[in-house]
This record gives sequence, C-alpha cells and structure tokens, in this order.
Amino acid sequence: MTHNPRLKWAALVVCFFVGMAMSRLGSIASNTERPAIYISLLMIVATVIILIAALVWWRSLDELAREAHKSAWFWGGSFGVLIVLPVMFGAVEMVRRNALDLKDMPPEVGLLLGISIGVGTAVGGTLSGYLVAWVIFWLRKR
Amino acid sequence: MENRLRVLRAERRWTQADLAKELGVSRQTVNAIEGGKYDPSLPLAFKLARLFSLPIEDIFDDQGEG
Repeated sequence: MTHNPRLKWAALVVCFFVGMAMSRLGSIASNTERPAIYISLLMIVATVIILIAALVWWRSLDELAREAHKSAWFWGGSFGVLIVLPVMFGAVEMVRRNALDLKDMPPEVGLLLGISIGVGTAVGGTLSGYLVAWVIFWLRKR
Repeated sequence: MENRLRVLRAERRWTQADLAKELGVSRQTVNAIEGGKYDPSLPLAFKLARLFSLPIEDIFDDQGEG
C-alpha cells in the first residue's frame, strides 16, 4: 500500500540499463564460440535482475495503481490477444493459399520470419490492449 | 459506495495531497475514493478510520449494497 514514486522510477531506470547492457553483451556473446551458452546465461542474469526490480516497483505502487495494472492485464491483455489472433490465422491462411509468396526466401529465413511475426503480433496485441485498458481505467477513476 | 471523506478532509483543512501523504497513497487514489469511483481495501479503510478517529461505518455508507 505504501506509495513511493522514487523507488518506482529507480526500478524502471534499472530495467532500462539492464536492457541496454543485454543488447551490448548479447552482441559480444553472439561472436563467441558458444553463443547459445553465453546468451542463455545473460538471459538468466537479466531475468533475475528484472524480477527483483519488478518486485521493488510493484511494492512502490499504491493499491489503486496496482488495480490499474491488474485490470489492464486481465481485460487489455486478454482482448488484445483475442483481437490479433484472427490476424495471425489470416496470415497463415494467406501463406497456405500462396497469397503470400515466401518461396524465394531461404527456408530458415522464412521460419524465423514466421516465428518473429507470430511472437511479435501476440506480444504487440497484448501490450497494445494492456495500454488501452490501463488508460481507460485511469480515465474512469478521474 | 458513498463516503464522507471530502467533508472530513475539509473540516481539517487538508488538501488531497496532505491526506494522501498521511495514508501513504497517491493523490489520484484519494481523489478516486472521494469521488466514489474506487472503494478502498479493508486495510486502507481502517487506516482512514484511525486517521479520523471514527468507525469505518461513519466514513463509508454502503447503502445496503451487496
């Protein structure tokens, strides 16, 4: 219930710098002999740091701010995914019917592209829905 | 749920920010409670009751809701 804006911003700044460090170290790790091992280790370290920062951030929020995030997660996240699902199935159907021509693409690139678009659309839909629901929550509580 | 928070706060000449600081919440939360747009948790309701030295039912009126 304690509201502490300083802790909230400190946690966000930590996450920002962890993201920047991950990008730089990930690029260095990918040029080593065993990139998968080093990148996995980096991911584990970053996950632990971000989890701790998230815990500090969550505890710094007061109960209404927490309600806003819970509501945004449930309503925005759920409906965001539901809305983008037809887009994903539509894209799959277009590839199946050759409306989207991926034949000239190397198979490994096509596979990575497909996975990236699928994950990107799902995450994008969830985050967009989350943001919209979060804004609506606060507008209704004004 | 209706409440007398705005009146009680005004009687003490506190701003929403003053009350928020006393409660350890944001000013937006105080504003939402005063406007009847958010019902506080039980711990926060008890904190309000202690702060104003009143029973909870003298601050909040559920009008037979639920």
